[in-house]
Amino acid sequence: MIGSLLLVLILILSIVAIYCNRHSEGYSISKPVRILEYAITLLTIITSAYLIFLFMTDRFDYEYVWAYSSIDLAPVYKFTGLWAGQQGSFLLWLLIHTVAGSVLLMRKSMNKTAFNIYFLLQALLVLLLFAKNPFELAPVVEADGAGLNPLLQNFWMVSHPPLLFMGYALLSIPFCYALSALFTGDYDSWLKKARTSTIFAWTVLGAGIFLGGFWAYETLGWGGYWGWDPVENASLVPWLIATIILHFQFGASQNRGFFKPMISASIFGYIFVIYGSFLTRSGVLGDFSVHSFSGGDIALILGGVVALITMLGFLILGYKWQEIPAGEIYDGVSNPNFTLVAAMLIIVVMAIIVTFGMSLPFLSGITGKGTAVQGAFYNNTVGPLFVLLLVLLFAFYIRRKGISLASAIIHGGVVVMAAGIFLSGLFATSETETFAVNEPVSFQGRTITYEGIRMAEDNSAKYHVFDVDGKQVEAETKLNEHGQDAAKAPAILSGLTGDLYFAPAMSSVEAPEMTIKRGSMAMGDGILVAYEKGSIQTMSTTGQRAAQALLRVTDGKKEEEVTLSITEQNGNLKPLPITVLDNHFRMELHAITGNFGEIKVTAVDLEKEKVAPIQAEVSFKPFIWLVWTGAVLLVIGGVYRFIKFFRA
Amino acid sequence: MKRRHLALLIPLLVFGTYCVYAFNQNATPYVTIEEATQKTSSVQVKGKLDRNKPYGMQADGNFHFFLIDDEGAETEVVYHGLKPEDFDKSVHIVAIGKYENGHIESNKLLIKCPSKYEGKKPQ
Repeated sequence: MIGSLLLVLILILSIVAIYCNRHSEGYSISKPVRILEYAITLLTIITSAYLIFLFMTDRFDYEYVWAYSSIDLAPVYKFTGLWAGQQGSFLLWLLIHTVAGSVLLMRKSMNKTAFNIYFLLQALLVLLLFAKNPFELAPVVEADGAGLNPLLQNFWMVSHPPLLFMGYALLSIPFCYALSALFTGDYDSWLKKARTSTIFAWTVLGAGIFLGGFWAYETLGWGGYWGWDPVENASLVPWLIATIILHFQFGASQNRGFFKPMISASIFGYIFVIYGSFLTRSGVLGDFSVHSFSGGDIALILGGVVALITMLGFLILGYKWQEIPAGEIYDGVSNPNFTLVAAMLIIVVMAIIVTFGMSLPFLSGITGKGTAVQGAFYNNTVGPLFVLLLVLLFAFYIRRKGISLASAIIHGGVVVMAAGIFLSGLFATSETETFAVNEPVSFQGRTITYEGIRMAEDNSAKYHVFDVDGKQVEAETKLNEHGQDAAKAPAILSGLTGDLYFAPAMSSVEAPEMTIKRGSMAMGDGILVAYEKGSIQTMSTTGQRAAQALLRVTDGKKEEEVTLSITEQNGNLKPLPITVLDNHFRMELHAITGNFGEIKVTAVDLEKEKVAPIQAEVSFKPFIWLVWTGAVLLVIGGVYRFIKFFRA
Repeated sequence: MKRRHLALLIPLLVFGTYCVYAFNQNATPYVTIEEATQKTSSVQVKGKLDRNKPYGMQADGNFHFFLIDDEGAETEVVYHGLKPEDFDKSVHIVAIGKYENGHIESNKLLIKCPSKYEGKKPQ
């Protein structure tokens, strides 16, 4: 309730800010507007802090908190609840937008018109929050939350989404500069300022994309760092356009002919940020992506915002096109500017190809069931263009004198990254191998021995241990509180020539199901199970009702009394396994029938599972570290360039 | 200038044609199992796992399972890879591949899991 009220207040104040802004003059923004935006920023900070507070205090009466948290979730991931799902991430987006707005005001970075557009975008973001309100109450209040996907419980979850949203939010700034220039006819006073904010947006968006790629590679075990998934593509296109904006801004600082393409690119940048959000967050791609985002009303509203921003941008651009400064960009092929324009055109074509590919399921889905394109399409089209781009990069550098250090670092990074992308992509080898414990397997001149499963001391994870020519690597599988596999990561042995990458399959030891009558016992694989009595109980932690069976078990060395439970969820019976006899067996109750007269249980011998043969996808990715090195160089160069601009 | 721009048009046309070719090679329309049996190119089929039939890794090194689509038709899927994570929990599966020799040869599966982590509350 408080949260929703705060949102209403933020929306009203954003509109009032536009109204009050009529008293501003050029870069001097009237005091009430400044105070309003500072107040909005403060309110958004309070709203975000309030949402985090709701997570920290386990307020599962809020649907969003229920969906992405649970009582025993580590505090850091309760904090990241702010951006764990759509609702919260729109709030994070708004938070960054308002904070950036205040910073721009304090530094007097934008004029009156630009701020009006900025406030309008701010109001649209709040509208999105109404469609996906993180403060919506749950229809049924439950004692515990659904929990955060274990795949998201790592460092990357803390760093990757905020950087991405920061990039998205900040790309609104060049958009506002461009539209304001069209409105006011002022093409001179803002270029330096626009370059400072664009390089910042480009750097954080790039860093966010790179972290996401590393996350997919290192933790999620998707095999590679890039899968051309719609969600990845939706972040790549704005970044490509940001790259184009930066280069045309550089061009415009020396040649007025660059203004037309630069203004156009600045407008397209934010259009594609919103369009990407529409594709990935409206649910229209639900059946085409490995990311799961559910849709709803948000599709219509996001679609409306895309249409509004596109129309606004296009109409004004078309209407004022003739008034934009013009000039000859290059006088011949030998002019470095020709190379620059050609390179940017190639990036435009890349962006068109990726946009086409990611939009296809949605566009073809309007008339039929939809069509998707597979990753090879992008590799085979964008790949050759990338080679051409590198050729032009060399051509440009040969002709141009006086390259700045930042530019050298960034473009050096591009070359290093390209080397990594092509080497690791074209020369990667992959095989599915079956490993029996302590039986060496040879893979491309290496001797690999699977040494079985090692358990973490607190039983929170298990590790598949591989020995490669005397070096040990482990693939971690996080376990849930019932000892079941929850999140699986690959094992990676990094070396100078490349990475050896192990993605083990879920290992499973089959255990026969035992049917036991009340008061009798049955012999399993190394375990004797006696069924004493059954009952229906309400679980103290979740308030769910569960059927329970009281058993006595022994493996010959030890005897133990255990209670097995089974609950109902979404109409399906869900056993809650437990480990018994000093983690020797994992037991599961599958059915309890005939007025508690008979049960069906399984007991998996975990000692056997530890030494059971497994299958794993083993691959070698040559020089993949060049990709990370290149990415780091790009970010370092970006930060360095930003600091240079900022100080100037 | 004009002639130079015209000269640019030729490589652009060549590249455009190449893109169309690459697209045709890699486009996968959504179809039902029945439609998949009629096609020789790659498609994607959405369905549910048939839990009453055995599924798992087989001696050929592939992962085999049976898929039932929304129309109720059923086909075997041979996935060239290891058993995907969360396969047992899947609500529905999208198999991407070609229909050959009475089954779908698939190189990519999209596994959709139950609502637990998607924030949909059972009513």
